[in-house]
Amino acid sequence: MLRRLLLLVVVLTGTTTSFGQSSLFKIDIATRGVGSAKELSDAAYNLYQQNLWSLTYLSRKEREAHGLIKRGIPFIAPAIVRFTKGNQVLGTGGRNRGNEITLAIDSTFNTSDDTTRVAFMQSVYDTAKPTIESIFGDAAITGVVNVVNADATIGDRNAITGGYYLPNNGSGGREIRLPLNPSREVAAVALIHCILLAYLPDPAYGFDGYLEGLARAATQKIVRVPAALPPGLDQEVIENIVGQTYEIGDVYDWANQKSLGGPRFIAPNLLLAPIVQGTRGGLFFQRYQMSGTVWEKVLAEYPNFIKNFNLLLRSNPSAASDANQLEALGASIIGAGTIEGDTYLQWVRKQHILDTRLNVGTKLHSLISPITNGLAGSDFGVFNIEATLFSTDANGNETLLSSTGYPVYWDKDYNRILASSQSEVLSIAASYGSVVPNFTNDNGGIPYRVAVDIPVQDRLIRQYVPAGSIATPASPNVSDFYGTVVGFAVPLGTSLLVRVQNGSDTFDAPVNSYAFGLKVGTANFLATRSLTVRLIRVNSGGAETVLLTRTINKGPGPIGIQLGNDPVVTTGFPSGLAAGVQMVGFTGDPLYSGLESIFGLSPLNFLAARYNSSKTAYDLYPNSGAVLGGQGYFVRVPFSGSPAWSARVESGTAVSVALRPGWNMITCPLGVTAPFTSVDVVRTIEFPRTYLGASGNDAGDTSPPLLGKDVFQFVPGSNDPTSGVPEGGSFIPATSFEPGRGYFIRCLSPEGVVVLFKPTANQSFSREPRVISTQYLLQVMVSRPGEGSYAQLGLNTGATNGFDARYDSNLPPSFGGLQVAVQNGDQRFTDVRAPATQAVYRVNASDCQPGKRYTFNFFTKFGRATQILVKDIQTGKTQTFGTISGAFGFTASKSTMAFDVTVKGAR
Amino acid sequence: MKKNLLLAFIGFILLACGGGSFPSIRVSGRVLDISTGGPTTNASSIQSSTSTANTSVVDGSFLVGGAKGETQLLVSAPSLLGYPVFTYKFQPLNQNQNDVGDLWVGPEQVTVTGVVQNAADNSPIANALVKFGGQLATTDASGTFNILQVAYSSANTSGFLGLSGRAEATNFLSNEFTPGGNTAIGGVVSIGIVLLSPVDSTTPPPPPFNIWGIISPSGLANGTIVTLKDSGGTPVRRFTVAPNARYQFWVQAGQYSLDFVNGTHTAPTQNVTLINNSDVIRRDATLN
Repeated sequence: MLRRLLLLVVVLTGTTTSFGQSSLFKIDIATRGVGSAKELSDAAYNLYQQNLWSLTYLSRKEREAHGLIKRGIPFIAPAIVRFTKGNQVLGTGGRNRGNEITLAIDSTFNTSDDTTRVAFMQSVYDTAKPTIESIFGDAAITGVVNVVNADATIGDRNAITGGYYLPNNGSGGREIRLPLNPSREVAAVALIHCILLAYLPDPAYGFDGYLEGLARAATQKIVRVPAALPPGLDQEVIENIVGQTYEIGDVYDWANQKSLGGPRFIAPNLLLAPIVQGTRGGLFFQRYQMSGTVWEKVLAEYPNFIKNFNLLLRSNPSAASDANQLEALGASIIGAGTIEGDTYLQWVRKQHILDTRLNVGTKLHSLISPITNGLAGSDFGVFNIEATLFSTDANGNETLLSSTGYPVYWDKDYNRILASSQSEVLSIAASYGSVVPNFTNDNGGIPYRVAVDIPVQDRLIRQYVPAGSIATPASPNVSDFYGTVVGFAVPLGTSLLVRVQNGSDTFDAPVNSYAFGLKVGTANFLATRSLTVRLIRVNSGGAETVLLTRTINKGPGPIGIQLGNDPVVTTGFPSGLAAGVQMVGFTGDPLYSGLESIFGLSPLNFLAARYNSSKTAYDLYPNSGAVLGGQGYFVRVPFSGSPAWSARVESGTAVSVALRPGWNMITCPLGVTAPFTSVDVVRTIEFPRTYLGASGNDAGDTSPPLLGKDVFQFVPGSNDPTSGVPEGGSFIPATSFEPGRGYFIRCLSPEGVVVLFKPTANQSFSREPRVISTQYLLQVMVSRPGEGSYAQLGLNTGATNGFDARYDSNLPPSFGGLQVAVQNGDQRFTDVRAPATQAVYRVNASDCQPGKRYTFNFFTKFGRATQILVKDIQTGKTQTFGTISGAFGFTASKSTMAFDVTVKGAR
Repeated sequence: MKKNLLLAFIGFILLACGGGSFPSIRVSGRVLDISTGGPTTNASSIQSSTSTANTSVVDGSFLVGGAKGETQLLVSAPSLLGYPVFTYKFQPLNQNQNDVGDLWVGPEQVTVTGVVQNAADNSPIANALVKFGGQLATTDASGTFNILQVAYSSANTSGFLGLSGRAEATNFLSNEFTPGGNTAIGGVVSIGIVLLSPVDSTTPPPPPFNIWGIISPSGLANGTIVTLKDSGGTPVRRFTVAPNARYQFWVQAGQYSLDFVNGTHTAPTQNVTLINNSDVIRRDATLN
């Protein structure tokens, strides 16, 4: 069903091509002969190839300029093309014609430049075949596969090459159609990749994370096996090919983000028509690379996994396009074993490239790459930080967005680091932006951890990088094992080290300021390995305490890791989830991206929404996008429950949330309560301010407020008489940020801000604010059994009768339910005015139920008045009260009841 | 790092070519091609009132000298592209160093039009500054803006559709907006309404809802009971209309009917089908 929705049909020279997946095309040849059908398939692949080249052009240039990739290495992107007649896919030809695949290689591959190319190609298959079958399994469908020279039509190989597999060429034959690449190394890798596609069962995997990833992981594994390819090939060239295009390399931990997820890697709208060279392509290239590495991780512990997976798919064809079934098949292979210390299903949840769910909405991704070439002068920790911003619609199409973000760099104690001015502003155009900060040597050459917050709109990515641990001008030997430690305290007199067990080899990496890095350099380490990594605290006497043990599987080459105190835990709402409308926040960063998985409910059984201030309206789920840490939601469930979900919850470190101008729905991203005194606020390139200062609640902070004076939480109202559960409620000001709760917070800064939540356990973060005291403040409340709401009015020297963010606060978006507000041009929660001998405040109680009995009461919080009068606007009746408090009852005659509160002689 | 070096180099060339009279201000930014989202394939030319400079082919960045108070730059894409010349206007540039951000060029120029309104009451906001694609305009008394010479490519609208603009007005929070999927018709892209929330806000924006409507006549609306019934005729929600005459419900996808009663006044029952939870349907009612 989902896959059918994703099929996008384009007109291609008079027939139709649809993209079932990024590299699986379907071409309807109902009205075509076989000859012209192949022209169509060549044209379709050529367009795909050309578009990939155009989409990667800029990225290649930039990464080449930074020395992150080598020049002249093509990206190999084979595809599958299926012919259809009407709605019927032509089945794979050549079934049951032999015991295995036999290649029939076109003699025209031999040319005057390479007279033995055909023999070479055959020898590639013959030599690699045992390795192919030990890693990928034998061919699911046997018979002859014709290897056709299509160089005349798909031979434009500027930077993309590969060829494609045609399971049925329209007359029952199977073909691999290849360009004639002058490089034998490139030709060998591409041929093996295409052969693997021909080995797959029909139907093959229905999601790119599987189809692309498994083929890429297997290809790189095969071509790296010594003697799996014919002699004479340059292994360094092959290593460059697979290293640059088949895997993400050492930065998998950094790049493993929710934005990668989805059923396909390239949005259909980016494959529709010829694309102009230099057009940005969004995330697709990283997705290809991540998919290769993620299955490499499995192969490190289970070398036969892909072979067994393919076998299971053959006998379970319905699993091809069913993610749950595919996960179950994978789990059955692992059984009681683990991958990187997790059960298979837990592990899959953590690998966002394997999240096949189509998440709509705006997405932000970052890729950080250490710069190690050309370091000089003050270079110490130089990192290329690339951000990708895009939005996905319900059809999987992606819009490549433009925006501006202001990265925030924190040292290990969460003091802001200001890098060069060019590194403080991230200009994103057509989805892409980059900065290259250099974190300088400020501590005698000792490395240190930098927390990097990349906020754009209300999305934020947090990364940790080790400055000075990878390469510096003074230490040009590039570390092949590096990373950061997060969330573990280092009491005075103790130190940390990272101990790595690699089979029988063990080495230690000292940790300095939560950063580490060293060059191991051994062939044993640089191969595909499963490492056991322990974080150890050492006291002054040398006694060791293991703080964390992680199993990390790596592909060939170096590895960067993050050792965080961020275990995946099963968590939930502290008091469960009551029926009706609630405002909630999700503790930590849920591993599931969809609320239906978190709630365990069908989308037909709950409602959710998140306010989008740029639209001044709510995004209704699922259009509100993937669930992310720090976000608040309105939800409505028909019955009470205690949903539980897996989330990565960070402990012992500060966590940030990005706000855009206007009202934002957030939650405390920590798993613990964050008092206001433990929250900082940062705008653009300024130094952090306390939350109380930034919200106008600290008399010592005289700068203009960045936030509204109050943060609001939602209190559900009484049960609706028709549905039997609360359908509305009231907003009341919050006094701290509690886990599990959602909050409305208003950002006044046009550029947005970053809000930093810090755990209170770290006393160095504690600061005592000077709270603004209002000289006179009266709290007014309207209530009836089951619901109530209040507002505040007051007088203060320095306040004005207009709106002053230092004293006044507005209500968040109305949600229905009883709500009390002071009307002063707008509806306010707090209205503080200039001192006067007499002041009249209009107090409205909205969403009253006509005919119901309510209580109006008030009491003085600060100061005192000589007299307080309350006039019921509906009846015209005025009551006079004492100086401190008072109450009276009334029957609502309409939904909004108005009262004038007159305060005399306040001081 | 590389960008710094490049800018420094461009600055050096400017100094070298300036005959010893360095312009009083410097203006930096990027020129990007709306067809690709990247820099133009060859260098583009930037012309101020006093100087001319070329963009970097690596990232489109430029640094050009100018006179204090400079209010416009002329941007010419490489001639082989055949793009028109773009005139970018600014509020006077008076700093020694001024960054004008991303300036877009393309094969076509369109006018982007829309209306800026107060989110609290939908009233027009005059004199709001609206920026989009590097160009800017000011709203008139009706809140309408017309941003001229915005780069556009009919052949590839993805770059344009990904642009974000910003509207700013005194006493309002600024807000970002996008084309929202709207493309050019007759050289004009209409993006509709851009809402700004007053700083001293506000009538709160509407709550989550997916069925809503307005009751008329307004004099009868207050106190109207709107009852939402499921397909079996069972009431599932009830809403009492306030003086703003608006009702709303937030319900799961399904088939519903709406009844409207205010004392002796009623309106005809209306049927509503929500196919998805995220659909939003409006049903106004007139009481008789």
